[in-house]
Amino acid sequence: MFELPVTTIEGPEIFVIEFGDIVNYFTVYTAALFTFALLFTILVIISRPERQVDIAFGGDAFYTKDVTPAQMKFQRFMALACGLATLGAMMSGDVFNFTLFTSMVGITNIGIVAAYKYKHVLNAAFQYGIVAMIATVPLFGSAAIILATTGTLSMWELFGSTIAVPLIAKIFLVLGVMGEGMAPFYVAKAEITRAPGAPYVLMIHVSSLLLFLRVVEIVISM
Amino acid sequence: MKRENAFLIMIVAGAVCLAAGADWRTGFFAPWLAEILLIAAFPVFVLFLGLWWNASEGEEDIPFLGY
Amino acid sequence: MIDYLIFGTIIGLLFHGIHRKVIARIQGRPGPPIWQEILHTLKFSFKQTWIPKTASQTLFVWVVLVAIGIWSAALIVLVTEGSILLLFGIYMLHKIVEHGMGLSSGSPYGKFGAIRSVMSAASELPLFATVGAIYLFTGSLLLTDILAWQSAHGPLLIFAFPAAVALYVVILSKMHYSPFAIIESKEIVSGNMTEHFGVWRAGLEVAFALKTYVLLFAFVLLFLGPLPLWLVLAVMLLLLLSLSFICAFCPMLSPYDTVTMQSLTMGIVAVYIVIVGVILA
Repeated sequence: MFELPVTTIEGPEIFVIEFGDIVNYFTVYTAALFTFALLFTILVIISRPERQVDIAFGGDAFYTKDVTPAQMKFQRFMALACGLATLGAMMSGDVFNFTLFTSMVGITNIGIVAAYKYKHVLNAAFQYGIVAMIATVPLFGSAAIILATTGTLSMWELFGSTIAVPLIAKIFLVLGVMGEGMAPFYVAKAEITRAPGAPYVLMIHVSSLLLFLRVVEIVISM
Repeated sequence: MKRENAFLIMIVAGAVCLAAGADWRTGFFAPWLAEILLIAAFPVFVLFLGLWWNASEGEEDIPFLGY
Repeated sequence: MIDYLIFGTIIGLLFHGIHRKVIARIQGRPGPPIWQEILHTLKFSFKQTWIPKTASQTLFVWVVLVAIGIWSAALIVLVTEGSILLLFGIYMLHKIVEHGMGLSSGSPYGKFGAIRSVMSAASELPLFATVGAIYLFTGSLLLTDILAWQSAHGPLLIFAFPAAVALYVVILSKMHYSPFAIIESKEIVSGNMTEHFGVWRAGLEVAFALKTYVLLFAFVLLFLGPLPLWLVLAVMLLLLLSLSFICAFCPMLSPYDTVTMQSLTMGIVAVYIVIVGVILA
């Protein structure tokens, strides 16, 4: 029943899940991204954080940081939520759902960063939060513009050649996704790696890169 | 890791790789299945080949630790 | 298919060896024999192996498996002539592997490597520009269509020269000893690879060999079109030699200079895409 209008960009469609008029789908491309996100979500569940070693340069002094169970619990939950949001964004066949999942990734990313009680990291989380919040304006703005000009948000319609999506909506969509975690807006990212908890911190990176890959696909196809 | 376990896993992963390769050439099953199996099994094969090689046999000399 | 992977690994390792040899000859050193990297990989896989006590153990091991897995997948995409968007995706996922590799060990050197890997996210952007430029010409991102287009019209190297330069910069960014290889630069020991020793390092060497092979192979397929295998390998070798020359002559850039250079490349290709796609269209 549902046939992807363009198959020359991301390969043939594999699988479709229908929820009423919201139709999620997998192509070779999104299935590969989905698998990768799933793999790292499972890794978040099964792996324990590392004990980060800090050294004082020019001397022999070093100390290891420990992660407390309470902090780990919160972080693991946030990383898991982030993984689930990423999975949702990978298979979404609807622009509004995609933007929702993207903003959820932004929220959970702030959660992962804000779990640490170090001054630098919390500062970074605060700035990250501001950027992510501002970025929701172009993100949902793009969905609004697409709906207003084309009358639909379904990618099945938008990917076809009959509907022209305005360039500004595409630019806004990319800007919004970038603001939720991608370069060059990742004011916090270099800072968060001061904190221990590699599997969880890595999830921030996984989610934002996968989101970017997905938005590239959407924007080229539209 | 025990030498026998590493060897066993390496053999199984290697067999899956070979089977996937043969399947891809002959087209017996769907090619995508062969590709997925290969992507999953090849890394396991490489790592466990190494782990099998370097697993101790329990008869080595105690290394010289220095003065 | 498994034969492609083993062939790719061996040729990739041989290319790494040739790369080191050429750099050494240019710098007036005798250098290692060209099969040194193959011996290296074998040597690492024989060495005693364990997981550091401070590491996040699961992630530490899995990241190696993922590294080999994604580059095997990339080679399969090229061989089956799939979508180059997938290839672009895999290249981005490699960044996650680099990042995870450094962070999972708990070592400060690994951590600095990982942070540098995050900072140099700009190295992926020229590849995006390349994909965009190719799409403008061929109207498809499937390798089959791109090869068919080149058979009909001639190599894309002539039509989309700036895109080829961008991909060249991307490949250069990922070569060992390149001016952009800040994540494994020697002032932070081996950067994100510092704590991966023994079998883990052997696995990573296999993954990196596949990576070099895939990137060079992709360049030939995308910009020169379908060629016989021996000619593909010869062109890949020529490309590698040119990369080795750059690596031998250029000192390692500072992290911020690296990002600046890569962003500039991206900017130039973006302007080119706008000219070709919007103004000339």
